[in-house]
Amino acid sequence: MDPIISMRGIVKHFGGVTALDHVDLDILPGEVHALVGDNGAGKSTLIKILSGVYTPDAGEIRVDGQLVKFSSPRQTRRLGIEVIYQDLALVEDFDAVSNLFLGKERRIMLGSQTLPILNQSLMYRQALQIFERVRIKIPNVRQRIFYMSGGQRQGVAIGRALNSDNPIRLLIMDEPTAALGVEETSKVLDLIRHLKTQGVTILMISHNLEDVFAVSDRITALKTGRWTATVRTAETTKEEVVSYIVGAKTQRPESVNF
Amino acid sequence: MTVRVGIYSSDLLVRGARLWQRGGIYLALVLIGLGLSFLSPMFLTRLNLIELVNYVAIIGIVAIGQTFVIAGRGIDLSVGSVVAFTACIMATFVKDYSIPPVLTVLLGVVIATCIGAVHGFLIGRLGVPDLVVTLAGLEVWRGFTYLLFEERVISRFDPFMRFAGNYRFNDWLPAAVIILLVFMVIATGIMKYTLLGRYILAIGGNRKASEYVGINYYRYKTLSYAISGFACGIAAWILLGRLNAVQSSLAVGYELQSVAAVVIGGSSLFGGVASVMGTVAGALMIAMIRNGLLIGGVNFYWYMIILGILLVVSVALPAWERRKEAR
Repeated sequence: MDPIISMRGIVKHFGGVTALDHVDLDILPGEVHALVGDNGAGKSTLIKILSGVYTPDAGEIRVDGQLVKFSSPRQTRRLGIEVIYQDLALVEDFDAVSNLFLGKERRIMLGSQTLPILNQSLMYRQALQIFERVRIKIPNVRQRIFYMSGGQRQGVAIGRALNSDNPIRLLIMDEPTAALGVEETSKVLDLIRHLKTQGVTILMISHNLEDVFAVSDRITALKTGRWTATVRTAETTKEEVVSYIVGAKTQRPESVNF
Repeated sequence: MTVRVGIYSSDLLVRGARLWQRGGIYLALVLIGLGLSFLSPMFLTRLNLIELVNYVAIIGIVAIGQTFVIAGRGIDLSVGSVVAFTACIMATFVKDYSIPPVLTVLLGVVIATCIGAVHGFLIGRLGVPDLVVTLAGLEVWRGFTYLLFEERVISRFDPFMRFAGNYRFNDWLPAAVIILLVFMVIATGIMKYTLLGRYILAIGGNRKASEYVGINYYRYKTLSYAISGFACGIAAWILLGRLNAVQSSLAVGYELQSVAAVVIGGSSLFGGVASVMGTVAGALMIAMIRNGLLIGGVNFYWYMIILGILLVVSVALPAWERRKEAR
């Protein structure tokens, strides 16, 4: 199977610090791929490159085999790459519907003219459909985000990422369960499994190996900016993944640290 | 663990704060109105009511502009100075330069709008905090006003210049009230139903989130201040007509009164939530308190003290409620 996203030899420096040192990452269509590593391993830098926030100093990125240059978040969104950041980037004072359509509001049409007037009822109906489709339960979509639980917020954020005008190629989730309790975490993990059955490809960053093993198909580990391993979740153990994370073990001979 | 404290809470203060936000202000308005009519036979006289609503119109219009600025998590402290500056240049246009009244008013409003836009531009592009730019604006525009007009009093304007602040339909309905109502309806529409209002609220509610989805922070910051400037221009026209005389010391203290009207009306001082209707109700409350003190013969300095306290309470209650709910 050909990867939908293929990163090769990605290098990123910040001043004298090498945040990423020739990192490779392939994401296969339909998989849940987990990106693991300790603080400072380069996970965030890597997804920021993948979402167009940073440009790499070296290396190449292919989307469906085509060489592309990522220049801005707007451009990567056009390619169907959506990111849900850890802080979720929701407007807490707005309700779920308004957040779902933030920046892509449906507007009233007058003939062929689009007026700068919001089409509230259309957005409301579409919001219900989207939440229904991805099985996100929001008791009251007119309620402000401020009053919602962490899991519901995550649901709204996922709904927004999927509510794209472009067909979604890759959904990147940054620590989707970090701020959640046990029950909410299991709901979000269910949601990830459900999205997978819908054919959504997911790259998920997580500190929590329990969660990683619960939903992912493959795992890539980074250690201080270097790729250490990519393994099938079904064929590995937590202990092995931990040793990749701390760098005690690596699939890359030339970068063995002693 | 999340604990919902909200409407089920037995905590009286939280419930009080909520009730206040959901229409308590309208109840308070009725109570103050009733109180004043019982306490003073002068309150319900035609002249007093016209004086009252004219004041509401001026403060209300400035405060509606302020509502847009605060919705975008800003604050416009320059409003009083901009009103004074605009009223004075309108006066000099029509009196010293014999510019036709209609053109004068138009020019005045355009200039005030541009002043607001410049404030917004400086805040957005140069990254100077809202407070600094508009505090400077408070000083700068007042400074220009004194520089150009010194102790001069320009008075006796023609009917068109006086129209907004003086004309009464059927001899009782002030034009200023009609202007306020029209402005309120349009502003409510913009805030609730247009992209402009939605995006100003979005940059105020969460700048990072709004920029992430591609909303242009600078554009909507600038537009929010331009709306405030526009409102100041209209208010200047009304003020000029109402007083039939302008001088450099006009419209002092509008910044506090307009900000108070906005927060009393239930908008969040921290952006993201705004109610134009509430702002007008807030302006009405402020004006009634002022009016009551005036006709009651109470030392007028009490007005400043009460207004200050009211402002602090209006900001403290919702902030306190939010902390409780987030717990």
